[in-house]
Amino acid sequence: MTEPYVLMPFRFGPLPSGRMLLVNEAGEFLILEPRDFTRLLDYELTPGSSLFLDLKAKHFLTDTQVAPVVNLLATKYRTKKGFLKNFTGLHIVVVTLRCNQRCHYCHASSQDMYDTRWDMSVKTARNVVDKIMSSPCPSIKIEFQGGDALLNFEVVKTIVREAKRLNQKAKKDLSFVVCTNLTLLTPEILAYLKREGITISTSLDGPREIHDRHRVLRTGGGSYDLFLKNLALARQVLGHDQVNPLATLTRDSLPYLTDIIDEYVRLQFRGIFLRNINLYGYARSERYQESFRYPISEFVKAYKKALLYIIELNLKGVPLTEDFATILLSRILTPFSTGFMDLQSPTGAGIAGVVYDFNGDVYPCDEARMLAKMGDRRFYMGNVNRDSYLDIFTSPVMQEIVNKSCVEILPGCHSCPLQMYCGADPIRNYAMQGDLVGFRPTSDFCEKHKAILEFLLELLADNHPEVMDVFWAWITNRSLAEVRGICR
Amino acid sequence: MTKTIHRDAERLVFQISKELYEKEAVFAAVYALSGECKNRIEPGPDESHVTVTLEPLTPLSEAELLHLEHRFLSGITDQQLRLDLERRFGPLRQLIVEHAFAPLAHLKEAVKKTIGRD
Repeated sequence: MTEPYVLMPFRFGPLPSGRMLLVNEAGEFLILEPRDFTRLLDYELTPGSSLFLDLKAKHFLTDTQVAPVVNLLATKYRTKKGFLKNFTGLHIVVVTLRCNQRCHYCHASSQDMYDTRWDMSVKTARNVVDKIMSSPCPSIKIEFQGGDALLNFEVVKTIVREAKRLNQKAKKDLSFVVCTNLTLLTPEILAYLKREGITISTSLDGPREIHDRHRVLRTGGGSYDLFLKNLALARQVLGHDQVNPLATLTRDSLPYLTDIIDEYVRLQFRGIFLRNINLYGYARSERYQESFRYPISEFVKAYKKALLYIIELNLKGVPLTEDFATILLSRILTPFSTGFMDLQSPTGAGIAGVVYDFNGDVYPCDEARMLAKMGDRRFYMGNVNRDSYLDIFTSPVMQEIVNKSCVEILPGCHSCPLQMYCGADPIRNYAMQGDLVGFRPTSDFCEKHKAILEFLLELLADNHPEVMDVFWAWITNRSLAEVRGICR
Repeated sequence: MTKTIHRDAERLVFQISKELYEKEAVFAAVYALSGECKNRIEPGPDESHVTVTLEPLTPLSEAELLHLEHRFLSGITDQQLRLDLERRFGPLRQLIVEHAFAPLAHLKEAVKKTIGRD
């Protein structure tokens, strides 16, 4: 007997609530009660029922011609994988390792602020720009990192000048971000950033006692007061939204997430990115292991609580996005490709972004550079002063990490229903587990993303109108009032 | 027949029917628990069964053991279902990915050839 409908490809798995999650190749999802899932598979659904129509609308089944559905799903799949088409758009340039701070968890293993051996030279800077502008990507973002990038500001200026000069012919969408702890900002530097249209990325771990616990000046003492003073100055010159911070969460900050969030609100930031600490560089030193090395389940538990708190704030009229959730929700709820280097398949490292060290060495991501700094040059791609663009970006390292970072074929990922929203990080796998493919059952990366994605999906399944309004406000970068259609 | 043949604080032993569960399903279910248990997959007492032993890395309470048993048994069922479904719509998945990056000139015919209907 002919089946009444054709099942289209999807992946499935149970959520913690017991409901069954179904996700198809386009990233569209449905959450079913287990009995409905069984009825779907046994071809027992009644055509025309609301469940049947939901499944049909999202292409989990079809009772009409199959080819148009395949065509539609192929188009959506291509859109979701759009990040592959553009190749490398984010170019991180480490202009110096010198820093005036000595943060206890510094990933970059910063160096003494007067030791100029750690500065990028003008010659290397020019070769970096040459490689960057050879990228086929139509949209290029150059991010200056350190140390503190402001300590080698002449090289920053050289790169900006050269990139803009080359872009007169290349005509790419070119933008610049400078990463700084803000403490070295001067009116002159700000005037230059304003003139050249450069935004600032910075770090804020929370209120003074939390921020100063690990973000300390080399001369002694915390950096919070200087940060606040220069934040005001930077906003005055560049504009309020041109300075955006990241928070690094150690174990001792987890009980104070609401205080940290309140601090972001008090300082009128539009968003917060709650991220756990990466165990690279100084973060691996013995002294603060109690603070830095903690089970990822502790972070996930605190993150969930914090996310609900942020949603509540939004509903009380305090607009604040949680940026990690926003990225994941965009993947779940929109058909678009979302570039997020840390969570792509194949990996974003080298494809979406790349890092140029102060001496011209090229690495697929910051973590690979940090590994090299710790003595392991496993992911070295080449050097801008010696190698061509093609040599660097088609290096055996790149081929290997792409080959081993497609979730479609990784053990533990290949049948995971979260696959379309998730990604692989072969460099982290190597750093934490000693091999590029990694071992999902004990992977912090997997545990964190699985738990947070499932939490978000359960919230979506609950379909609470107010929570959904907040999520859509985040995804579409609009106010809650706009989303609700009540503003003029 | 698939059943639990032994359960104590140190190990769970299952006899898995090879008729019901394929090797890939058993391996995938065991892999999923390999962060928590030391696992063994061995030939069963006869040709139609395989024996799986799970030894928790840390001692478990009776309730936790029951939960582990449940997770393994539902795990192999899920994994086998995935294999069964892949047989039903796996070729369509291939077609979608192929068509996404190198559009097929005769998609309708390709669908018919793949699943036997249009």
